[in-house]
Amino acid sequence: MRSGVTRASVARAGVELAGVVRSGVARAGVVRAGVALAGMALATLLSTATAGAELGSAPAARLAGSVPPRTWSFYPNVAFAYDTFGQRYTISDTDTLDLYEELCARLVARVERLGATRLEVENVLSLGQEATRDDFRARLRRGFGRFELRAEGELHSKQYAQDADLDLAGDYLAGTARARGSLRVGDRLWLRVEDRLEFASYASRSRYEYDYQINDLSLELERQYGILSTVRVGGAAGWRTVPDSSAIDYDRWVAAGAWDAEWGSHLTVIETRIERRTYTDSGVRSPYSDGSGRAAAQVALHPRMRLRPEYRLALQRYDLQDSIYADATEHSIELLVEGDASSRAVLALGPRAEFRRVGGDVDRPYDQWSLKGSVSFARGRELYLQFTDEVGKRWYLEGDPTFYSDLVFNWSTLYLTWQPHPRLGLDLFCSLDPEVHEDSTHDTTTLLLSAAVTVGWR
Amino acid sequence: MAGAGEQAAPDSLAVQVDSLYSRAVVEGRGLAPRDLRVLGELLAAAREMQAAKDLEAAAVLVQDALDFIAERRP
Repeated sequence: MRSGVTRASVARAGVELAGVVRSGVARAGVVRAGVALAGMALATLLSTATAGAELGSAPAARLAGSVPPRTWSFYPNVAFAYDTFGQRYTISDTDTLDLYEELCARLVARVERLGATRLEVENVLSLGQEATRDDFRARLRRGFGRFELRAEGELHSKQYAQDADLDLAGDYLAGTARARGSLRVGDRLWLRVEDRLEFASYASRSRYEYDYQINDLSLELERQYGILSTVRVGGAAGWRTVPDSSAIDYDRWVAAGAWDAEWGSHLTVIETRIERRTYTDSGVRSPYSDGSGRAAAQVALHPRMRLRPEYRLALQRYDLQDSIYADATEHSIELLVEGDASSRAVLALGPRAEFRRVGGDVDRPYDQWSLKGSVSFARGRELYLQFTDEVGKRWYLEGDPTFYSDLVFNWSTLYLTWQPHPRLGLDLFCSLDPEVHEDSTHDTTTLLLSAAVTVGWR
Repeated sequence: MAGAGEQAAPDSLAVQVDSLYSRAVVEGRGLAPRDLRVLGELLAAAREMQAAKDLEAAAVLVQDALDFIAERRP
């Protein structure tokens, strides 16, 4: 799935600004050419912080296929990266720019072992003027007949420089450990059990940065039929503990389901997820229910043209609302027409609408209409480029317009990965999101630029 | 944050609001889009309070924003 490749590439670029990149790529991904409509694996739906890589039906292929010969490989590289994030807004008629930027060098070492037991170990050491960080990842996969075992571990540490711009941020060590067993219980029927442990530990704990541990235990059943057709149902139970404040410990229960179906040359996807979360002290944090759903299709209008309708729904219901933690319902619908301009280029264009209804004072209801478009170009593994743009207007229906008025927006993203030489690569991600409000003092422009040059094995 | 601190005398509260605001803007980018809507409104309100020279109100709003980020971060 292209989106996975793209996210991995962005991560390789050493993008510290993960949030914006994720949302940007996700937004771009909606109109991306060649995105298989086979939905995300249920494990991704069950976990709010999963990497989501190599999930789904991979065990079927793995267990059915031949075992590759046992080999060891070593892939070192060095990269130089530049990240900047800025936000332009107005206070007292004077433009203000909030800016964060970092230049860093990154050393990567990756070891891979193929064979009946597959092992991948990677360490990324980043040295920048803002912070030093180390990211370690290890994955192990082994099949035992109808059973496959996977184990994954990640450790991330970050230490801010003494003169860092964000001098209030704290150094931390965070990590996840995950073990998953997949058992083929019938013809094309899979049962998966996964346990995931996450922790974070801060050198200096504060009101906003507190140590915690989260454990999620999930169970999933998947039935495959056809090449791209699957049905998945599952559930999860999880709990968080916060040593410094047990009042915000929580338990959560999740149920999720997904159905990917192929109908000749057409595809449909339905995904849904419901979560119920309860805190130890409901007076500090209200229990709430959170639901989301997605229905999408790819209708082949012509061998080189597709219609891609998509509907999304998100719901939040709090037992005890306040001004910030309040009920919200969001619907979005889009209708893109996607065409292959050539064997390498794909164009997409279509309208999108979003409707948000809320129950709180801070959040405000709105209607939003826009036009989305994208251009994608790929040349083998050497070059991939994608530009997406969404232009539209948002009308607030009620609430105090003192802070935020109706706006016209233009959200654009550019993603480029270029490998002109087998040992040289360039990754670039840029997003520019100007918003022009009815009251010009509310105008904002957000800019993100992330670039990296990598020398070595990618 | 370059400009906001120049709007008023650089007293400790103004500096603190600037610093917390910068942090909320940067850290908030990791939130889900629906949570970003809430964060955007909180920060817009904080900016308005800064413009009105009501730094105490701005500080409360930015702290609310950081609390919200801590709770809703993925």
